[in-house]
Amino acid sequence: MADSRSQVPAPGSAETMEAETAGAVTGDGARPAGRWHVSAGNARGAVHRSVGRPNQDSVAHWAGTAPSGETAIAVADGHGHSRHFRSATGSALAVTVGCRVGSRLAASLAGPAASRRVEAAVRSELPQTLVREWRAAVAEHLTAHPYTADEQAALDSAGDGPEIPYGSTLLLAVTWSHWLACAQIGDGDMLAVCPDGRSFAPVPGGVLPVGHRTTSLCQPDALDAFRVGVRDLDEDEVLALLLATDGYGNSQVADPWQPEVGRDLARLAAERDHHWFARQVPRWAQRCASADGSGDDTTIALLLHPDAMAMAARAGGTETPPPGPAEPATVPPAGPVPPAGPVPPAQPAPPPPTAAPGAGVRRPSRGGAPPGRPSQAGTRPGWRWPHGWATAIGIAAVALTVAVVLSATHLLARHGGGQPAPTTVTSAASPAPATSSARPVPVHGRRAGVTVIVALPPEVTASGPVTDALQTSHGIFLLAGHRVWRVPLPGGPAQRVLSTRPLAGPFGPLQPWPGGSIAVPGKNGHVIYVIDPDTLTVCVAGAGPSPAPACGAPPVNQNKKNPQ
Amino acid sequence: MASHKEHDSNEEAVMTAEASPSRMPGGGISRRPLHFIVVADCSGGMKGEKIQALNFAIADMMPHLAAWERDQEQAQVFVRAVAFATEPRWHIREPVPVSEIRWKPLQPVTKGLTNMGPAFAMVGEALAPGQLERRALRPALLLITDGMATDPPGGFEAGLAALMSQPAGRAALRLSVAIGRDAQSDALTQFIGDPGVPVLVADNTEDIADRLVAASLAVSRMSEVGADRGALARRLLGPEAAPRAIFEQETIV
Repeated sequence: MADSRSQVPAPGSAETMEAETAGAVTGDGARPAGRWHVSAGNARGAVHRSVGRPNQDSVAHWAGTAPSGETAIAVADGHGHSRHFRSATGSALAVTVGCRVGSRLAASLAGPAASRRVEAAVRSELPQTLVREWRAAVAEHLTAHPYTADEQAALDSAGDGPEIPYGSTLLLAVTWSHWLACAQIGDGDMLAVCPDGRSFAPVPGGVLPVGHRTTSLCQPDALDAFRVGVRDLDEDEVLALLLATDGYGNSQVADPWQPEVGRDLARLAAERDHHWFARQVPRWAQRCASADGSGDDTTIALLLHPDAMAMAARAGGTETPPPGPAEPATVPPAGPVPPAGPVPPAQPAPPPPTAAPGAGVRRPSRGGAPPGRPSQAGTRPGWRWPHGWATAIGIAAVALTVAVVLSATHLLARHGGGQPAPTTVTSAASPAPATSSARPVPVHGRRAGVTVIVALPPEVTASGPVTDALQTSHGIFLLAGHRVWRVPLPGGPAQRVLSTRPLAGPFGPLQPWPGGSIAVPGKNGHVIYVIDPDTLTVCVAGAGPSPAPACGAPPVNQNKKNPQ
Repeated sequence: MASHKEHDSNEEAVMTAEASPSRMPGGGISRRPLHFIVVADCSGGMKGEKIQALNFAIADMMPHLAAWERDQEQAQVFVRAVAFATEPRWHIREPVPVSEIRWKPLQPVTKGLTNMGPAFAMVGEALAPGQLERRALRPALLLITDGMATDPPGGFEAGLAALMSQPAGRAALRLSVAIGRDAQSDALTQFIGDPGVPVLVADNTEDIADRLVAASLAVSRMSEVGADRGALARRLLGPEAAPRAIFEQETIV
């Protein structure tokens, strides 16, 4: 068996990982497994950045070359407390061990394994082997890098064992043939998405300690803290599997966020191929890790079914929450995994597909769901989110029509241009008919330490969904119908964007805006920004008068607190 | 996600920009909520100068929290308040973003007692599972009182037990400001539940604002993810406190 292992414990900005796992299973009851596509992103949290802490998340992926399409993906979150001062190493060791153990598990069960045998193997062997091998890896690392006298003294005074500084969570998913096995210790989330948008947790929900504590590989009774699940994919189709460290879930406004994310993933999977996801997932991680999200290190790994697009398309709409699948087979831990070898292919990301209208961008709302208010838990046959998904759906419905926030620029108005758009956006000053009921609601955002509140004025309506908005000092830019429209403001640049009040009308006639670069004069010359009309993405693309590079260039963060 | 802010001399070019609001599944993102609940004594004894000073102090404290909220990168602070005397009542029931709060003065209850237990129980209900976002940071509770608890026998303990029966109540950062040396009591120490976190004592009404600023500092810094609360308590509130004016006064115990 070959081994393809890539690891992304990126200490810096977001990292990308894309790969396919091959396989065409034949004979003995096994069926062709196709190729599961893996996308992953890992981003250092804004908080970590500001206090000089490293990225303590890790992600790794392994793909076998056997025909059963074996794949293992692991993410881990090293604990942030100072007691766990080697947690970045601990998480890196965890994902390495996870993939290695996962690869052996898949190899050992690659044949026509009966479900009972699979469940027994996962139940009895997986957690035990993970814990044992992680501890062995820690011991090996410790031998090579012993604690300093001060570190040892701190451990002694706290009564901590040698593994404590390496404390980390671990989320591991292994697929082969028609099986999916998952194991998790600590916080973070696993979300299995069905083709019709339903979703479920493939491991039982653990009772995690309140506050900032979590179960951990480093605790003495780690074995008991593992949560394990097995699923026969012949019985229950899974379109995608999302694994994420808690930086992702802690960023989500909706509570619970899983049902909506599941539906959106299914919808996106029907429209986009895996290359698109490979480009997006790192961005999602980056957004969640930013000061607009949890600010914590964030790692997201997405396993996408080989036929995801067709499956999702066949399943059709995801508007109505369908009945849930049966409770996934879950098993408690206990025994050892037979060894096997691993292998390598990882592929470069192909060129991104053209973006199309579809799932809208939901921008953060500052408060999100009203805090302090109870959300009613929802139930469905076979599965249940702890809090009301109905509430989340309500939030989602609002979010779907919402426009959002952001940025400001001084010279955007120069870039008006003309092109027709399938969706009309109108203001009171515009002769175009106002046909929309899609009314964006006020959205609060925080950017660069400044509160920006956008409330689209009542004069502005759209005939189609407005999926995003950009408020600037020269107008509100709306993304609607895959076009960007500019709603000019009265008074031009005099009306500052960094206002805590909604912009006041009346507004000028609407102007389609084709996108392009913007040069903004500043203290040190010009800063070039690029706005992608497709996604309304604003990128800092460089400085000086030169033409800006394509949107997607790494943004530059110049305003955040500099530790120096 | 990076953002950028550029200032120029004429302020016209002030701008912010954010990269990549990509098509992200879900209902959007935001910072993690930090719920800060003020539990304020409005008993008869607070009448007059004390309640005025307290209202000033609370109003003065909010900008400090708001400033911290702006400066850090992980939390959005929501404020609520309970006013208690013989009975507790919500002074601010729904969480209000700290940057938007306009403090409405507390009013003392004539002949009102200082029954803390029911106030704790009321806060406990607000922290029950399902009442807080699961992603919320540990809440922070600030008890401000000028007197000993006057609960009927067992009342204080029952109320505190109700609060502590909630996981979020147990996990909460609990601070207390005693107005006057006489107000410092075992009850407040019990409420805090952490020998490393002292009761902040305001010897007189002028001290109240300073104590609340100290409390807000503690709330903010000790709520940060990864914070070593013990070390911060020592540094911010204890004898090893940083040499800020408010910490150099001996009334910080």
